[in-house]
Amino acid sequence: MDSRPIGIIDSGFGGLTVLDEFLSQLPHEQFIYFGDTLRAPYGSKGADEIMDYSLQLLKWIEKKNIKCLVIACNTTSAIATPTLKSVSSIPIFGMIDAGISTVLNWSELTGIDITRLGIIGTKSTISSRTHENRLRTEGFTGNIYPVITPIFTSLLIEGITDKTIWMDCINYYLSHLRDINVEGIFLAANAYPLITEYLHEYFGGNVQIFDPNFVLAKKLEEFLRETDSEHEDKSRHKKTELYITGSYESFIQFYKRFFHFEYSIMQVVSPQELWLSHM
Amino acid sequence: MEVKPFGVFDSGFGGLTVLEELSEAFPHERFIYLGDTLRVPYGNKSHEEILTYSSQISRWLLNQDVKAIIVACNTVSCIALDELKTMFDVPFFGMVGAGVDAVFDFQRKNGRKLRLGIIGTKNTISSSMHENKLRELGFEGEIFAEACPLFVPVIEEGVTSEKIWETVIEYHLDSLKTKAPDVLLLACTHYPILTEYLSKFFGDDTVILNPNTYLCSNVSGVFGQMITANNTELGKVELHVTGSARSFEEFSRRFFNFGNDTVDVVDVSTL
Repeated sequence: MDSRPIGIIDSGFGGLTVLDEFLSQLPHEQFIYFGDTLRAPYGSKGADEIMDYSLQLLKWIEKKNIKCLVIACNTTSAIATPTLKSVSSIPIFGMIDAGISTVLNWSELTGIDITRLGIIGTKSTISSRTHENRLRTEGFTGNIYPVITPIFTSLLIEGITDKTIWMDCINYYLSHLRDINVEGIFLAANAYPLITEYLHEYFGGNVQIFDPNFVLAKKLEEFLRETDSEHEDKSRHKKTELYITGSYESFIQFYKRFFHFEYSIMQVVSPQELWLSHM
Repeated sequence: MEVKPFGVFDSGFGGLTVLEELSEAFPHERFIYLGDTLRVPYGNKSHEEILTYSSQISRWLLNQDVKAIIVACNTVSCIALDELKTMFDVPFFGMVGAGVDAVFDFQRKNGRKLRLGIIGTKNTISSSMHENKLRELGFEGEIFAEACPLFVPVIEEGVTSEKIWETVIEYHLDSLKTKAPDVLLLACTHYPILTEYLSKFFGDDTVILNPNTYLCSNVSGVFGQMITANNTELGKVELHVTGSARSFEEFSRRFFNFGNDTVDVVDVSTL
């Protein structure tokens, strides 16, 4: 048994979809979420900057006495996971492994091979080709169509759920994927599960939308069970703590727009404090 | 005697539209620009945050020995300019005054009551600053103000697709269009980049009003002659950002021609 909290770091708001999934699958655990909303989105930043920022985040959250860490951001997972693992003794989980398993497990389970797979995400994630390379290493043989969808995150951060604008934007960026009849769309950005419904409507019910969050929660659950580090207290409603670096108002607005889970702390951390924890 | 530079700042890329006009109007001057690209957009941040950020930046610019500060951001001009003026001992120029001048000048030339559209960020529009100033100075026409929170993030993402812009513009401005404004004031320094798309959306009967020229006039009122004729010589420009240098360089190169695209990064924790 290990009743310490589980840490989650993200570049901003999107990782709340990951936290949301964890809270429903692992209701006995306690979570501490850190979103670097001030410097979000990481998607259009350079690899060296992302590396610096994520090391700062790691140092800060390590001080919270966490039992393991989840990098809930695809961009950071793609760029910084090996480095973070090499400098920390805490077990670290990233989005990439979970994402890859999501696709491969589905094929294994259904017996259906995906021959045409779209991957959508930010500029950094897509141009890093991490998902593509990993899928190949793991033996995926279908065609892969990566697409950068830069405006999707902006729309979500602004809390826009208007169907017309979403359908236009989805159509603009993804019509070629529909034309070639992709069988699956892989969500390589953590806020995109919020638009699953629109993607289903656009592509039709037969196209599989691969959201890594479910598998990530399963992997975490499995890890806690195998290492005997589940939370001792089996009651629900542990105190979820949310920390951000940017505007309190925008964060709470985003949270209220899309989520219903309860939290006990929502607090802004200054960049100076973040910088000091890195010393 | 060495000539002191002007300081110019904005939340991100948008102020470059102002910087461009300044450098054309004052070819013998030097300009130090700071874009707070790390913390962009300001449009939906709290007043306290905006005041903190803009006073940090003003202090930084004063450490570069600037003789005046041009707040090339409407959001900051609406929310923090009055306080910045009391905090620091140099002349400040903001976008609201320039916007108001632009409207009155247009009205004088047209000689009738105007139907005026004003577009900007959430903070700018909800401050009602432009509207209040216009009314104070006796503007009698109708005013239709509309916040367009998506414009800044989508510009900063570097989206140039016409189709996407049509969609985003229609989403924010469909209802304003039905009011058939005579003139549309761009109350955000990012928006001149969208002039072409906005003209196309509103049609020939709506004039798009960019306050940047009036900002230059205000500066020349204090610091002397500006050049209005065709001018190929440009003022010297230094670019600084708090975020990524590379994306700023790309952006600056795509939309502007400053003759100096080298961008220096300022560590925000030292501001």
